[in-house]
Amino acid sequence: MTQDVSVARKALAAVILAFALFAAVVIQLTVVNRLPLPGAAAPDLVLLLVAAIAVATGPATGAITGFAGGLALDIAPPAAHYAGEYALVFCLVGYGAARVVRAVWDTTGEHDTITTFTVMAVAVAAGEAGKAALGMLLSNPDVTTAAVSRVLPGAILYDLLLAPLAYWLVIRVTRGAVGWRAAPERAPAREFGALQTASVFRQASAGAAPKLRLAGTGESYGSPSLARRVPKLRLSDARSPAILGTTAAGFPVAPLSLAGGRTPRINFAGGRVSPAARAARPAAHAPGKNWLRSSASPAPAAKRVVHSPSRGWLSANGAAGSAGGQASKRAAARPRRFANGSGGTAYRASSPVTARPARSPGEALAARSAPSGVSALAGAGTPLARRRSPSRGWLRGSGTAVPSLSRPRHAPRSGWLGSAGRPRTVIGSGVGEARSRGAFRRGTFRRGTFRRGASPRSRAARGNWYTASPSGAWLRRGRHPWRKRRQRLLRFVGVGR
Amino acid sequence: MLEARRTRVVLIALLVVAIALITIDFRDGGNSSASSLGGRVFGPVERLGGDVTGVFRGTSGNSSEIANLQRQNDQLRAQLAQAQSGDADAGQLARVLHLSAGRYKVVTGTVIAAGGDYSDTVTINVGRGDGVTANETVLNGDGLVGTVVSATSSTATVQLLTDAGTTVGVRMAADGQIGALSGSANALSGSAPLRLTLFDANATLKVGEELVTFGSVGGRPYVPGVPVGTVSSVTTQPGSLTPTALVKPFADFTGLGVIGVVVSK
Repeated sequence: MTQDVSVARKALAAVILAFALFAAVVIQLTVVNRLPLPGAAAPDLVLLLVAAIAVATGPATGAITGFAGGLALDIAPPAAHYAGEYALVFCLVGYGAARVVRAVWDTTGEHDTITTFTVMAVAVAAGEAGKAALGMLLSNPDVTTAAVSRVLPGAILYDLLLAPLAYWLVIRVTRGAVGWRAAPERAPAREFGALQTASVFRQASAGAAPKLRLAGTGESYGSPSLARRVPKLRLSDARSPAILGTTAAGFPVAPLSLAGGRTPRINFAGGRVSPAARAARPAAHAPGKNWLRSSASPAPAAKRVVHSPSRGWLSANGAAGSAGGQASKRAAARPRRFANGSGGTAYRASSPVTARPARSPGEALAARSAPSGVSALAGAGTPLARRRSPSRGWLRGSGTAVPSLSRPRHAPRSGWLGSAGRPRTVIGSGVGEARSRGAFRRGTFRRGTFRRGASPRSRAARGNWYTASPSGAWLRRGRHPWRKRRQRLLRFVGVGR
Repeated sequence: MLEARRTRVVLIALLVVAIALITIDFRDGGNSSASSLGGRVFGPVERLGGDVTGVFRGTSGNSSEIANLQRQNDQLRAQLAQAQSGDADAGQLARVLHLSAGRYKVVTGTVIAAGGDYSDTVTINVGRGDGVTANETVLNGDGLVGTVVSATSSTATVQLLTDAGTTVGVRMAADGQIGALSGSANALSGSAPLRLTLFDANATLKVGEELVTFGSVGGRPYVPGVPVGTVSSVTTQPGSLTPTALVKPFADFTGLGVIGVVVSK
């Protein structure tokens, strides 16, 4: 599990725990079972210890400990049940508790004592129930429905009373002896749950100059130290200039089509501009308040959602091109997904800026019909590509400033990224539409989609990588010719994933 | 991934072993070699633990005089049970049941461990080395306790009278009606009554009547004449064929200390 924990420390902890387990069996039989406790039940020290050790160490240790402790209870003299009953139940309890705890830790990324203890308590209760259930299953004459209903609540209650003590003892012993999660690929991803995402959105929609750089400007959003973020950075930063093929003049060419006739799924809004284009950009500072009004035809702006930017802000000085249409369409299709909340975390982390261009269908419509043409999202001079965030008022747009002002700057309503639900109607050419559908489909969040590596071909074939579960499997999965076969077999048996 | 796979392999192996153990023990009726191995391993430790806890309980080490007296009491109780069955009955029973009268010998021991929540079994600190084998009557100064179900060299496991798997043939001390007494589980931490069913449909049951064991063939697992308990309430249903009652045992199962095992010489 770990490398930096000394062997002696681990061995000491193992010896102590093994002795404690043996002592628990003996004390259970000689003392605890003979105590005339009220409620016709007694706590199960062995089960408590097994659950505590399991949550403190790991699944394998938990399973082995549970088996050993249960087997000891099975064969120690006064046992009246069949040998192996408790071994089976405790083994499952140990394994399950440890697995659940690890899953919780992997998800939340932190060691929460309350959560761990809760898992342990639930495992103990499940173990008591499992003992009774297996006894009834094997038609033990002692384990009748009446006996279970009389004994089980008291037993669980006593167990829960003693659970903190057992947990504390085991944690004391195992602290320092169990190095948890030293492997870097198992590092928990800094997840962007609903709360963090909402706060980011709040900041962004309030125009409060969030400290995030726009995608493609060279800096990532969020902590950059996580293993899972590497492919994302590579995708949107390192690769996009080459794939996009942005010219220095800011004219976007048609995006490269990869093998399979798909386009790389890239943040078009954040399409990176070559250094030359950046240098040639006319304005290096944030635009003034009225920069959004640069284009005409304010009609669509009236039906826009409150927080969306003004209609013309995308079409600053680009030229019409198919790439722009596709981009806006793609961007219109994507935000809907993470507005639903099913999106992957890495995607969420980077998307608020990326997706903002297509918040309302009106602006995409305007992008098509405006005389200036569709903006090149990757083009030079686009506000999105600027290094500095615009001034505070830039989101309020031209005509809709009043409702925006009257509205407090809280989180936008849930559908604000979803383009009012009609992205299809505003999307451009037929080719682009087909592609956007492809992008949409590719964007469905399947697990493990990026495990192959970073080659664009596999990425395109495997769909969206944003939501690969934080397993790190994509790093370790080899390319053995029998891999698929093995996976299928394991899945068939029920142990694969 | 590799670690998780290895863990699964370990888990599956352990589960298979556990299920195999259950199967083997099921086939052998709960007396497989695994149990005897456990007895060999845990028996001495439990004896030690029983001695240690006995110090606090005051049963064995601390007050040897009390233990001695209890031992004598058990001996006398067993002899009394034998003598109490009347001469006529004794002769009759001796013929019918091949009783070898006057050959009772009591080995006394101490309870050192008890089973879990769902079993009414205890471990005593006498075993095969002391002449204790399976299917022997266990009693204490108050009355019948149970029967030995298995014995190792140094310990023996006693199934108590109150265990749900126990059925004892009993006789009404007053009128000699015979019946069966069965346990209802879990007397160690509470007092669960025993259920008595008389075989004679015309027999009448009265609260307060005493029961003694009817005896088994060769005195195994139950010798005749050991007092069992008193009828605490008659529960005969109006339409039932046989009279039934609840019986309160004489022996106090929550505080079992010194017990005696009737061994056949």
